[in-house]
Formats: sequence, structure tokens, C-alpha cells
Amino acid sequence: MAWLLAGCGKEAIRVYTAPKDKPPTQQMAEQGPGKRPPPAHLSWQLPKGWKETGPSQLSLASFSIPGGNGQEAQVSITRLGLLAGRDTMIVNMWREQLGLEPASSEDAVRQFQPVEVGGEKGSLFDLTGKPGKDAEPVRIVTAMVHRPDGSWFYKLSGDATIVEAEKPAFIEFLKSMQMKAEPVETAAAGEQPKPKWRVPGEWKELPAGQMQVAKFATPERGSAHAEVFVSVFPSDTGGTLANVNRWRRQLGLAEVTDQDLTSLVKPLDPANPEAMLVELTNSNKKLLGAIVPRGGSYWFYKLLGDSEAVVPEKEAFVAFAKSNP
Amino acid sequence: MLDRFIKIITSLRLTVICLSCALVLVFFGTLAQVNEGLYLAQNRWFRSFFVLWEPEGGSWRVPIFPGGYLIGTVLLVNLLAAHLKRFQLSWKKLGIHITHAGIILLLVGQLTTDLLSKETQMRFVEGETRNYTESAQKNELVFMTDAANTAEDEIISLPESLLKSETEIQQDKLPFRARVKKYYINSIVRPRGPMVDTDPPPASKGLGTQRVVQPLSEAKSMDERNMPAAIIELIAPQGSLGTWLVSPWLGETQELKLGNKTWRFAFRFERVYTPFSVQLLKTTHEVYRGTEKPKNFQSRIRVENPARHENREVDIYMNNPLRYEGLTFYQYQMVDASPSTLPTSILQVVKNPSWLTPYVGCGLVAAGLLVQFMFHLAGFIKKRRFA
Repeated sequence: MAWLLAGCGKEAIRVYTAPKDKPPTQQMAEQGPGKRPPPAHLSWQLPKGWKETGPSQLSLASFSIPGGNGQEAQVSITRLGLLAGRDTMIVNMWREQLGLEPASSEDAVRQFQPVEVGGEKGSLFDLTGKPGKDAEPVRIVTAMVHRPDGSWFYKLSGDATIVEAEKPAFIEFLKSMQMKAEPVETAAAGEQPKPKWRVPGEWKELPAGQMQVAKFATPERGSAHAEVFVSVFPSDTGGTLANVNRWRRQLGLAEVTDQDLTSLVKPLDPANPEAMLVELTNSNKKLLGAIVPRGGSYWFYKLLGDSEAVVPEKEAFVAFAKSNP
Repeated sequence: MLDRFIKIITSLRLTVICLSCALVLVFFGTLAQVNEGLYLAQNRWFRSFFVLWEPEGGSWRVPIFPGGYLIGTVLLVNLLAAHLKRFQLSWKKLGIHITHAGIILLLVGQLTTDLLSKETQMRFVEGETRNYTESAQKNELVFMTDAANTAEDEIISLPESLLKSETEIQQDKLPFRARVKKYYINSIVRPRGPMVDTDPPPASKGLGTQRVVQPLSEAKSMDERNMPAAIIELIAPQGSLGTWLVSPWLGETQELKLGNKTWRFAFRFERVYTPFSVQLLKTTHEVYRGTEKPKNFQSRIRVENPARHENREVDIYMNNPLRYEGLTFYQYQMVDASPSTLPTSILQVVKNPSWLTPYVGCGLVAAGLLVQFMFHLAGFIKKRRFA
């Protein structure tokens, strides 16, 4: 009997239907007033000589610090799943990157120094090594803070000389970090927190990805399809040139310089003179990007896809980007 | 030969041997949890027919002791056989029959609990609604596409055990095959760092092009879970569609457009969907004054079941679980609010179809012993009266 029952427990491929996961924005809207989890907004005091290079798919913010002889160091802010209690593993993860032998638990803990990150207690460790046989020495200074929403890593890495020189500025940068919840005035006033923007009726809302506020699919035109992405950041994430070049790279186009920008960037909305629109094309792919400063934040809108699907949506996209969220 | 077999299978000696083995098994199985962790030790010592030993670095295993299933099965057969052999239809034996029925029910109940019960978790922040629970141990690789009813997804779920064998997986509903090129039982998946991550990315398509996978040893402690990762190659009839990294670390689905269908896929915590939804309305986390010691974890939830036209609020707290639709929801953990998150509650959700068997079994044993004792007492009093 036990054999038979044990046999029943064998795992097999399952095929079933289930309700779709609701997009986070929809779910939050349905939660009622005051229920929207306020996303953390980072702000900081930028040390002299540092340059914001904007968020990437991987980091919430990143910076470059140029040095002499073309050398440079980078700073990045990343959030991972909660790794509290796995400090030895974290240190060894970094040691492995630098070609260093794994440290024992005692040695790993000994490497931690207390550090203040925006008023919260964090730990800092400092490692130098060679990532490859013939590679130049790289130094990594990492501060980490374990919070209920995950483990936050602030990493200064790069040429050892620059890192040495910039470490005091990095410590000050950490102290200046402010992780504020987005003010939820609308919720407090009892209004629905659902964005008030005008989403074209034919667009279909999709689950938003990392660092995105919303994502939509535009109507398909034959086999051509396109999608709209919306993100919001507390800064312009490195400026117009950095963002235009980021979009150009996504389309496989070469980067441009400041001089080329004037011909690429067009005003989006006469009512908001700082809002801008960029249109990029590479063979049959097209990208429409809009940067809209609004209430101290920067809204980034992107319509990307096959040209046949993007062109008919241009008007709707511009109206959508102009509408107040 | 048969007589000898019957003699052995019905002997009291066999019962004593089985009980002694069970004693030793429980002792060493409990000690093994220190090094092997709760779940591994349970599987190796109690949910097995033999406890197997593998020499360090060896690829073969030998049985060194009977496992929980074997001892339980032999004990059950011994009990049934002995009872049948010595069965007498008499009022005087009623107590013995009831007691035996109780013990049999306890043994069978334990086995069915072990095989049929399922523990999952429901994790949500205040305001969120869930219509599924997630396994605290198991993971699944799911491929999803729009179902006929566009509000639903058709889901093809591949259990993690299939990925472990690093083979090619084919399913009729999928327009491609999934070849598991590499499987990591536990891992950390992190973003690729500039300058230091110079190795090629683990995958040629999707999020894996921007990630690094670092293998970890299998998690053994009770408060840790494995976070697996796998590199899969999707192969359509016309050729390879590229390699993809999948892992619960990624926290989002990846997409693949094939023909006129969009497939989304993710390696996620195994889900069990429920025909009703649960919304977390409010969490209460109280501690004893001046300490961090928890005094009360409480979740106020709303249960909505359209099939039963039900929409009601319930409080779940310690010793006050919600029993609903064959599931029991216990308050498990709580995460306090922070500037970036709302309070989060984690409910332990237990499905145990045979949860009543230990109560009934113990009741029967107690009743049987009482009946048997009363018969003896009555006989004793009768004898004294005539003496």
C-alpha cells in the first residue's frame, strides 16, 4: 500500500489554466485609497567630479568617476533579495570576483566596518584583487544595508588609485543618501491612486518590469508589434545626451555627441518647455522616447518596436506622454 | 514454509523488533537534522524504505537501516495479521478490537498525512490580494500563454525534479523543447558588475545576458530555502531560440514571441491556485513592552469566494487559524513597514485531508482500553461478590 501511495506522489508536468497575475499598477489601484505601497525614492548629494550615468536594468543608480590616464571608477546602487545572515557568502562572492581565496566566517566578519547609510546602520568591506591573470588590480569598497525590502549594496569599484582617493567622498555620499517614500498626497486626500493619464483604449496594460511604472502593448499590425514603457526617477539620470545614447544603443545605433542632439531632440509639449521627444530608427525598428520633467521628478516614456507598429501610434504616444499622470 | 512465514509475520517478536527499530530511527533521524537539515533528514530517514549511506566522493549507496516507510508498513502488516489470526468474535474482546482499530488508524493516518498533506505559504503586503499559495521548498518552471478565456493563462508547469536531470523536456502543448544545459540547486543571481565580470554571460537571450550566476551549496537550515537557477536552451522545429537564464532571483517573467503567440516563462516558487481570493487588510504586530519579543502577530483578511457568494473578513492570529475549503491558514511571519514597503504578512497554509485521523485514532485507543478495563473490573467485582 505504501509503495502504491508513494508512487502517487511522483511529480509530473501539470497543464492548467489560472487567472492572469494582475499588473502591479492595476492591483494597487484596486486596493483602495491610501493602500499604494510608496516606492522608495533615492536622493543624494553628488560628490565633486562624479557623474551620474543613470539607472540601468541592473542598478537603481550609477555614477562614474574619471581619473587620469583614461582610468575610472564606478559607483552603483543595487538592491537584491534579502541576504541578511549570509554575510560570509556576500564577502566571498566579491572575493571570488577579485580572484581571492574564500574567507572563513570569522575572517569575513572581521572585514566589516560600521558605516552610516542615510541614517541607517550598514556594514562596509574593502577588497583589492585581480579579476583575471593579466588584469590590472581592482579595488571594491562595498557598503550594504539589510532592510525589510531587501539588501541594498552601494559599490565603489575600479582603479585602485582612484578608489583610494574617492573613498572619503564615497563615505560622505553614503551619509547623504536619503531613501524617502514617495509622497502619497493623492491617497491621503482619499483619491484613487490609479494614474490619471490618458491611456489609448487599444493599448493593453502588461505587468511592469523592474524600474518601470507601467508597460503597455500597442495593437499589432500584422506581425509587427511594439510596446510602451514608463519609468520615473528623481533625477534626469545623467542628462539628455546619456539617455539619447542609451536609447540609440538599444536600437543598435552609434552614439552621438552634444552637437548632434539639437537635430535629434524636439519639443514635446509647448506647455512644458523642458519636455522633449526623440525619434530614432534603425532598419525596421523604431523608438520614440520622451523625457518629461514633472513635479520634481523625471518621467521617461518609450515606444519601441517594429516601425509598422510604432508609426501609427506616434500621435497617441505623444498625447499619452503629455497627459498628467 | 507458509506456516513459518505466518508465524513470523504474526509474532509479537516482530512487533518488538519494529518498535525498537522505530526507536533507533527516531533517535538518529532527529540527530541527523543537525547536519542534514529538517527536510533532507525527513526524506532520508523517515520518508524512505531504507536509510541509504553514500561514501564520500562515491557514486553508489548502500542501505544501512530500515527507513520509516518500511518499519511502518511491516508494523501495520504485523498488527493486521496478528489480529486476524487471533480474532475472536466475543464481547470480551471488544476493547482489544477497538484498541487495535485505533492503532491501525494512527498508522494509516500518519502515512496518508505524510503522503497527502501539503504545506505552502501566502505572502502579501497590506492591500494585496492573492488567489494562490507558494511552496516554501519546491520550485517550478512555468511556460504561460493566453488561454481561450483571455483573463486566464494556460500554464505548463515543469517540476524542478525534471530540471535536475539536465535533460531535454518536451510537452505537446509547447511549440519548442526545453533543453536544460545547466542546473544549480542553490545559487545567487546578481547583476553583472562593470570591469570585474569579464566572463561571458550565462545566457544569450533575456535577462541572463545581464546577470551572473554563482552556485551555492544546498540550503539545509530550516530558515533558508534553495534559490535554484538553470540555463535552458529553447529549441523550436526551425532551430535554437537561444539560451535563457531562469531563476526565482529574477522576480519577473521573460517573454518569447513565436508565431502569433507570446510565451512568458519563469522559474518561480511552486504555486497552488485557490478557487477563492484572500486580501490582506491589516497587520498587527505587538511586542512585549521594552523588548523585541513578539506578543501578537495578527492579520485581518478578506475572503472572497464568488462560487459561494461569500465575502467576509476574518482575523488570523496565534492559535486562531482560519479553516476554509480544506485549507488551514496559520499566522506565520510578519515584516514591519519601512519607508519603501508596506507591512507584509506571511501565512502558513496547510492542506491535510487526514488531519482528523490522529484524533479519531487516539479516541478509539482510549475507548478500547476503557472498555477492556471495564470488562476486567466488572469481572473482578463479580468474583469478589461471590467469594
